[in-house]
Parts: sequence; C-alpha cells; structure tokens
Amino acid sequence: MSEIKHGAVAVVGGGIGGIQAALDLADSGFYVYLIEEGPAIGGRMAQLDKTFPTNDCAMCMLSPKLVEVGRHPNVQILTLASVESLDGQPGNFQITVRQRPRYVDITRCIACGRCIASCVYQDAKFPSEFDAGLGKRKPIYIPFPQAVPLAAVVDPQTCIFFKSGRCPQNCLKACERQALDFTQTEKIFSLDVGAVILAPGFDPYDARLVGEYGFGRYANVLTGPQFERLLSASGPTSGKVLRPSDGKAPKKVAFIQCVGSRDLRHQSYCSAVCCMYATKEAIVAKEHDHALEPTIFYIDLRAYGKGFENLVRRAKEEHGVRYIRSMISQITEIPETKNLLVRYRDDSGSLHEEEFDLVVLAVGMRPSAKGQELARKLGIELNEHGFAKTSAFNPVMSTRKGVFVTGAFTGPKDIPETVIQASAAAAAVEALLAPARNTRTQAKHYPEELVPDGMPRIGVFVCHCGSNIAGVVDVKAVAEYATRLPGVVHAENVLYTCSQDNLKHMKEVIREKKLNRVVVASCTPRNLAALFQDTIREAGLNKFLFEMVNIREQCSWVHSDQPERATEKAKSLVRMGVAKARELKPLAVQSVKVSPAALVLGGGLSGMVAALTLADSGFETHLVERSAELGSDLKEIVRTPEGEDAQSLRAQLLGAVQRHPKIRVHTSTTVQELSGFVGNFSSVLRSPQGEERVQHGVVIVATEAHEHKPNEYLYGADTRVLTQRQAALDLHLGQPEAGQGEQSRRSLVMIQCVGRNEKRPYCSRICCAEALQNALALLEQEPDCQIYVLYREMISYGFLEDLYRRARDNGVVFIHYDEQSPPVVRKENDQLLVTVRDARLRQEVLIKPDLIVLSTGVVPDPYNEELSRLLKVPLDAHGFFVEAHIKLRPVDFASHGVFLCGGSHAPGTIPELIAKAQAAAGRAAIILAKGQLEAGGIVASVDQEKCTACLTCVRECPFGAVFINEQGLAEIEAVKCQGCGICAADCPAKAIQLGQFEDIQELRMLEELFHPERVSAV
Amino acid sequence: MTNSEPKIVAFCCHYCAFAAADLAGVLRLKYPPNVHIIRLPCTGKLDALYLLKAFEAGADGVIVAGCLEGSCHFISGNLRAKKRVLAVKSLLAKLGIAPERLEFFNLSSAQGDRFAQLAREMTERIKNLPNPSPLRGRGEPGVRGSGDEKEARL
Repeated sequence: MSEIKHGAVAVVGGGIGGIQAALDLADSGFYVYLIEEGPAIGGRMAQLDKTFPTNDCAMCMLSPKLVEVGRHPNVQILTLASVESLDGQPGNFQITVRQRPRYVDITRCIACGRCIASCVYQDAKFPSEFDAGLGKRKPIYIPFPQAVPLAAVVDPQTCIFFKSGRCPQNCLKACERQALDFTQTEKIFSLDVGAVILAPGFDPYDARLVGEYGFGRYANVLTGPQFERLLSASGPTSGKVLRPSDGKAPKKVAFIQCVGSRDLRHQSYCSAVCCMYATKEAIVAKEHDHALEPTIFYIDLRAYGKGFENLVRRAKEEHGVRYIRSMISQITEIPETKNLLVRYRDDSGSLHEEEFDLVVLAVGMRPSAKGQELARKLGIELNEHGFAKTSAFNPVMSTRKGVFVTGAFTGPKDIPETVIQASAAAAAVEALLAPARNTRTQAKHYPEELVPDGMPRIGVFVCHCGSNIAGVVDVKAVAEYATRLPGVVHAENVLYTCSQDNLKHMKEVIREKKLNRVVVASCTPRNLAALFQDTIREAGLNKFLFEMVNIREQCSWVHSDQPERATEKAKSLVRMGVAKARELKPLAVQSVKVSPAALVLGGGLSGMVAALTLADSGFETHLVERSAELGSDLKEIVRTPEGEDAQSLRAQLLGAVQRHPKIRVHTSTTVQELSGFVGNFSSVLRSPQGEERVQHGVVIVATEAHEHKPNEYLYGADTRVLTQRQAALDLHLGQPEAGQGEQSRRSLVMIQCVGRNEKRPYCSRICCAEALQNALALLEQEPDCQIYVLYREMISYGFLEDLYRRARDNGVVFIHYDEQSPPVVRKENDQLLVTVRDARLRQEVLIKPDLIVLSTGVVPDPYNEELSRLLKVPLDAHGFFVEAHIKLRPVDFASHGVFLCGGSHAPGTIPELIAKAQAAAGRAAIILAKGQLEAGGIVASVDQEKCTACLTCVRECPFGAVFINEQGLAEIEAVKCQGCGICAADCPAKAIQLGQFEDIQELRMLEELFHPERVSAV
Repeated sequence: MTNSEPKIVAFCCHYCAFAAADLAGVLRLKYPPNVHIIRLPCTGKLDALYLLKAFEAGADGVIVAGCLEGSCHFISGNLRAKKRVLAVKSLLAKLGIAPERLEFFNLSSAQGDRFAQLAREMTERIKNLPNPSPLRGRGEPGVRGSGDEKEARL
C-alpha cells in the first residue's frame, strides 16, 4: 500500500449522491472538492416536485442540504467543472480539473436578477435545462431559485456578445455589484486528493429514439421528467397541469411505462424507478386537478421498495388511478384536437384503442454520457450496460483502486439507495484515508465571548441590497425609525450587509459601540443568518444574540407595487425584531466528549460489514450476536443474483472480523441494558461468561430478515414442497430432497408471493430474483426440466431483468395469477397437483409437478421488538425498523447516535445490504471521528420550580430527549433535543422554554406588531 | 389605512411555510402587505396562548402554516399544531369571535404561489366578515364589533 498523504477527496457530481458523500466526508475530518459539470449543484432531485413513496416535497428536503454543503468550511464547490485526468496512487492522487468560465463572480453576485431583466433578449427564448426544456431561459440566468451557488451564469452558446460580439451588454451596466466579467477564461488546474468518488448520475432515456410514441412530433406527448416540471409549483406552469398544444387542462392522461427499458431494441434492463414515479406523478396530478383521469399502462408493476406497495394501493383506491397491464403498439395524434390515440393489447390479448388528452412517457435511466466519458478518462471499467462495473461484495468500488462509484452511475436506482451508496462510498474512503483524517480540514477559532451585562445595546443594520430592497422600501426611513426604538444604540443603512467589507465594519461597530445584540434587516435568514452569526461571534458576541428581519423576500419583493406600505411593513418587522432582540439571551454550547467505540447489534452479513467498516476507519467495535456463530444468515444463501459465491463471502468476512484487532466479537450475547445518549452510551452485555459493561458513542442495529416458513401449500407435510432457499441449497449440493430420485425433477412449479396477505402485504423484493436464479441453475443441470413460475408481478428490477429474460429464453413458463385467485396445491394418489387461474388466458391451468418451490418472502427478526423497546426506536406495522427519513436519512434513526442497516430495516439483495451496512457505519463514524459533540444552543429546558411531572413532555417529545430525573421532575437531555419546541408548547405548567424562541420573545413580537405606540413614543 | 386592511399575523414553520414565503418573494408574487410573518422552528412550538394573545392584541386574522402532513422536520410538530388550532377555533367561537379568523394550512417549501394565495385568501375572507374583530381597538369606543361576532368579554 502506498503512503496515505492527502486528507482531501474529490467528489465528482453534485447531485444528491455527491452532496451526501461530500457532507459525510467533510463532517468526519476530510476536505472535499465537489466538482459539478453544471452551474449549480442539486442534480436531478432538484427538478423533482415530489418524491415517492411519501410524496414529500423534493425541494424541501434538498434545499437545506444545498445550503449546508454550500456553507461547509470543508467543502469547496467547483461548478462548470469537469475532470480531465487522474494520476497517482490511492492516498496520493493528482486530479486535473477543467473549469469553464461563468462570466459572473459568485462572490459578488447577489442573484437579484437585474442582469437577466436587462438582457437584450426581452423574452426568455432558450429551453431551460432545469425545466426539462418546457420552460425558457435567457442567455444569462439563475439556474433555479434555490440554486447553490446562488448566482447568475452566462451561457456563451446563446449569448449575443459571444456569438456576434455586437451586444450593448446591458447586463454589465445593470449589475450594481460589478459581478459580471466577460474576460473570464477557462482554467485547468490540478488538486491533490487521497481518493475520488464518482457520482455523475444518469441521463433520462431519449424518448425520440422510441419512434412509435411520437415524442418530439406530437405536442402533447411529454416525458416523465417534463411532467414533473409541470407539477412543480416553481415550474413553467406554476404547478398547473396544462397541455403544451393549447394550454388547456387535460382530462385523460396516459402514462406509458418501460419507455426505452426492458426492450432489446433499446435497453435490456429495467430502470427500477419508473413504476413508482409514474404512480407518484399520477397521484400528484390528481391532487392538483380532481377532474383528471390518469391511466398507467404497464408490463409488470414493480412496487418492491419500502412503502411502495402502500402508495400503489392508495393510487388505486383513494385516487382512482387506472392501471392496465398491456403492451402499447402505437400512439397517433388526432390532428384536429391534438389528442392522442393509444393503441394497446391488454393482458388477454385483445386490441384496444383509447383517446387521451396527454401522454406521459415514463422514460428510463440510461448511463450518463458524462459518466461514460469520466470512466474513459479515469480508466475504470463499465459493465455491459454502460454503468460503472462493481462487484456484488464491493458495491461502491470501481475497478481502479482508490476510485469509488455511487448512485445511478452504478445502475438505475432511486434516491434512498443513492443516498445509501453515497454514505457507503464515503465510509469506504474514510477507511482508506483514515491515517490522513483531519490533515486538510481547519477548525476556526473565536475570541472569548463577552457576557452581555446591563441593558440591551442593540445595533440595527438595514440593508439596501442594491435596489432590491431600497428600490421599494425607504430604507433610510427604516433605519432612522430604528434609532428611536428602545434599546437601539446604533442603526445604519448598508448597501450590502453580506459584503466582506461590511462584515468587517459590523465587527468594528460592535466593538466601538459596545453592542450586545445585533439585528440585521435584509434577506431571508435561511441563507445568511449563519454568516452573520459567525461574524458577531468573531466580534466576541454569543451567536444567539442575533435576530434577522426579512425585508426582501417577505417585503420588498412581494410588495413592490405598494412602496409606502412596504416601508411601513419593514418598520413593523424591524420593530418586532428589535423587540425580540431586547429579550435575547446568550445560549451556551458545551462540548461533550464522545466514547470512541461502536456497538453493532446483529452478527449477520450486515453486522459484520458494518463492524469491519468502522474498525477499518480506526474505531473500536463491539459486534454482538445472540446466536453462537456469526454470519448464520449467509449459510442459507448459495449465490448472489450476480452469480458470486455467498459462502466465500461468508468465509472472507468471518476471517476478517476475527483477525481485526479493533473488533471484539460477543457471540451468544444479548444486550441487557442500554442507557445514555449520542456520544456516550453505556450497555450491559450478557453472555454465558457473565455480564460486561461497555461504553460506546454510537449504536448500529444490524439485525437481518429471515425467509418466512409457510404453513400452506403442503409445506412441511410433503417433502416435495420446498422454499426457494432450500431449493437453492439442494441444487448447490447437487442432490434433490431426501427420498426423491433424479426422475422427480422433470416438472417443477414455483409459486411467488406465498403468504403475502393483508397481514404481510409488502413485497419482499428478493424472491423473484431467487426464483429466477434457481430456475436457471436447475435448467443448467437438467435442461429438460419444465419449470412454471406462477407470479403476481415479476420483480426483476434493474439488471435482474436480464435473469428474467434468460429464464424466458430458456423455456421457463411464466403464468400470471391474480392476487384474488391464488394457486391451489393438492395431492392425489401421491401426485402433486397445482391449479391456477391464468389471468392472461382467463382459464384454469392444471400442472402435475414433481416438485413445488415456494417463494415465501422475508420476515424481520423477532428480536427486533425487544431491541425496539431497549433502544426506544420505532418499528412499523410489519416489524421492520423505521428510519429517520425514508429519502434522505435512510440509515439513521430519529434518535441521534443510533443507526440501522440489515434486512430488518428493509429486505434487500446482498450488494444492497452491504452498501447499507457500509453506509450505517459511515454515518456512525462521523460522530466518532468528531471526538466531541456540541450540545445546547437552541434546545428546550425545564424550570424545575414549575414542573409538576405530568409527563406531557415525556410523551410528546419525538426524540426521547425528556426524562424524569432523580428529583422526580422532567429534565431535557440537551444532546438529544432537536429544538422543535413541541414540549414547550404542550407544557400545561409553562415550565419549559425553548432557547431563541422563548415565550416572552415571541409575545413581545406580537405585542409590538399591534401596539407600536407603546414603543416608538420613547 | 389599517381600518380597511385587516391585520394578519402568520406563524410560519422555518422549514416549509417560511421557505414558501421566501419563494413567493423570489418569484415576485404579490400579496397584501398586511400579513406579517413570525418564524417558528416548527409549528409544534406554537403555543395556544400565542393565538389568543394575537387576537387580544388586535389581530383580525391569524394564519398558522406548517409542513405537509408526514413531512414535519420534527416528525409530529405540525400535527400537534393543528390540534391546538382546532381547539382554539372552538374557543374563539365560544368567545364570540368568528373561528374563520384563524386557520391552519399545510404547505411545502416549494409552494411559493400557495403562500401568496393563502395570504390573499385570508385577507379576503376576513374582509368579508360582517364586522371587524371584536377585540380590535379595545378601549376605543365605536369600533367594536357586534352582530354575528358577539361582543367579547375577556
């Protein structure tokens, strides 16, 4: 191994995967260059309106992450940048980057939009990339309202100045900040990094290539990503679903699935997300316009992830979305109405024609052109589909050492899986670069905080924001008004509060005038409050002695038609801000030391991978397993669907775990007691040898799921009825089930979704692949065997589709049965008989198999319930653990410091479980790497004098932060408190206050809004 | 001026409604300036007392705007807030104040247009009430409400 020299990492691609990897790394002691090809980070997720299966707003989830990564001291974002080459060795790479000119200085631009308004193109004329070509933009534009970096960009391809050289360049004159610079040129530079993570994402399939659907020729045929923009409130139609041809609201909308996917003329694989995104789009469209009638034309409905089944059920039952299993033969436009005639063959084979107002093509994911170019330049291999080549056991490792791959670059996947892989890749990088941790990051030092004694001395800074505020609001009058408010000793106007020169000036004023509270009246606190708080901290003030008043987004920009009233409102808002400032208190932030060890519960595949990842990153890990041996779950599995040997994986993992000096294995051990909180847990482990107390900073729950053992279909009563895993073992051992001769495998029936009922309605995700794998393996041994697979939906998502095709090509007969009429198995004279109603033929089919193999699905570990109580973490109705956030925090629990992976979070294939385990370990390592945690700030605290121990707060706290102390009164664990204030509002005795949002502070604001005379008469 | 325009205070969650109000600004949408926003970390922080105090202080209308259901940053804050708003609405009715003056909304941070729209709608709704708030300008004879909204005794 070469020397590990650089504690910096290049993350290529600024979508959600790249952002997650960058944040994980930057938070655990590594410097990150986030290299993005476009003018802003955010990727495809930024373009989404909602996300399945919860239909959460995509931007609400993403925007805070964008801001966080944009402000992170250890992340440098390089936009309009691409990678040219990579030289060197893992730990010591030189990456060469080419950065195109933006023609706008992002340190000066304030995204006011004046340059855009003044552009010689009066109307936006060029297709907007962000709006998937549906909206228009000018040659100078801001990528999207929440963009990071939030700055304009000039597109030289469309800008008149670059095209003809003859342009009055109104934009230059309009900019009040001299931010535009048309002399910028391309830069090529090299960066020293220890590792590289590639997250270039995917391209949507080009619908024009599927000629029979008429995309590009028929106005009212859109793609899924375009329809998403129509649904978005910030999209080209402000969230109204309107037909491009006439701007009218469509009534009948057809969604066509598998456009470009599962089709040998295009891409053979399944794109894995389209069934769900179409379902989501249909529901959201219906919510926007109740009159809308969505129909989804699909081949197999692949609702295989956590919560997917439920979303489809809601689509059908609550929203009346029509699903038709069918093959589309053609779409034609009716010239007069621009309506579309969809010709399709239904399940039973009959042809239909139906007219629709709008057609949405659920285009799949294809390997991104950028990703393929990257692969060529960096010398990493691609698989046969053009995605990054990985192995089942190292799902985020490329074929080049030190270069990791993540997200849709490794295959079609949804957001949570992308986030999981991103955290997994970050964890893998951490393990590689552990010796160089904290060598490139910098900690900031602040002067000692002054204690604000005596009367409030408030400074008010009223921002012009060029003309953004001053053009509407009389800012001079507002500042003058502020001087007359009680407690204010200084008020002034500033051209740009956020400019470097003003920040310096602010610090001087704080010192000179001995200010002990600061109010800034400018733009939204969501973006810049942290910057100003940091500034006052540099001047020796506690950062919570700050209040920000929004007179731009929430005043001048929305009331530009009423300047006088906008000025009055700005005064009111400043008066309220000052009133709150008078009541502000410094809030203490304490450092809490972290016990630098981890506790991993569950010694299966996931537990072993998580423990190894943590241990490789340098952290001591206790691996606890109830049974006597590790990896027993892997004993049931022969091969991964990719064909890799699960037993050799088990042997490798066992060896590595047992050899690792940082891992302590506790088999035949249970956790008796677990107390403490993030950073400082204390557990009692009980084993036959006795009890032992261990201290640890984090917990990872890594219990697995198990194959369900059915009690139907003669299972247990006849040895010829097996489960898939039993069948796999038999096949592997080359001998059929006891008592059966070779002759007995001439005919075999597999039944999918056994035991999947109202109580256990979820899709287990892995059984179809196991069935396909077993069928193919059996045919290899016995090519004459006739195999029938009776299924509800074939869930061969992603590259698993190749198995499905091979099985069909090899003569496996697939019979679709309806959920309501499952197959029946009986025995007559020792002959097994299976009858099933073929949903396609609409006829009963009788099969006389020699063997029956049942796909029974997986059930979570029964021990989960005990763990759930012990750790106070939630289980869902089916016994799986519930993560903090299904999309963006898939391996975190809501309780800080506790993480999850394994089949007991959700069923998954081996590579999926490995990535999840690495991700959980990586997330946990962030806490351990910090060494200490900050506690306090905006947290709730209980006035013990007033507390009556009614337990309301204990009940209502979503984070389990409230406990009853030795005095029998409520107390809040500051480290656990997330600062929502639910307890404070619910406390009947008013004994709880939330820092920065105390009742007195809020009520003062209210009073002053309505009774200005009480204060301004000073 | 203030007599014709009802005074409305909007308690907004930092994560959704406050962000939506920002987006309304970015999109340069318009709504009446009589709506003043007070930012909360979560609508779960909204004390029922704030609502009563707002009316007591002279608010003609109160908006509480939290995240979409299932999307609360703090899991259940918006659901708690909704309950409190419903409770205060029934209390308002008992006090003779039209409960329509108080409303809870769910919206996402991407719904800038919805924020502008609900600010306009709430303003219109209150203008269309037969009387000004009975608590408005307490102590100033002649401006008290009567009729549908019974005179309040606090």
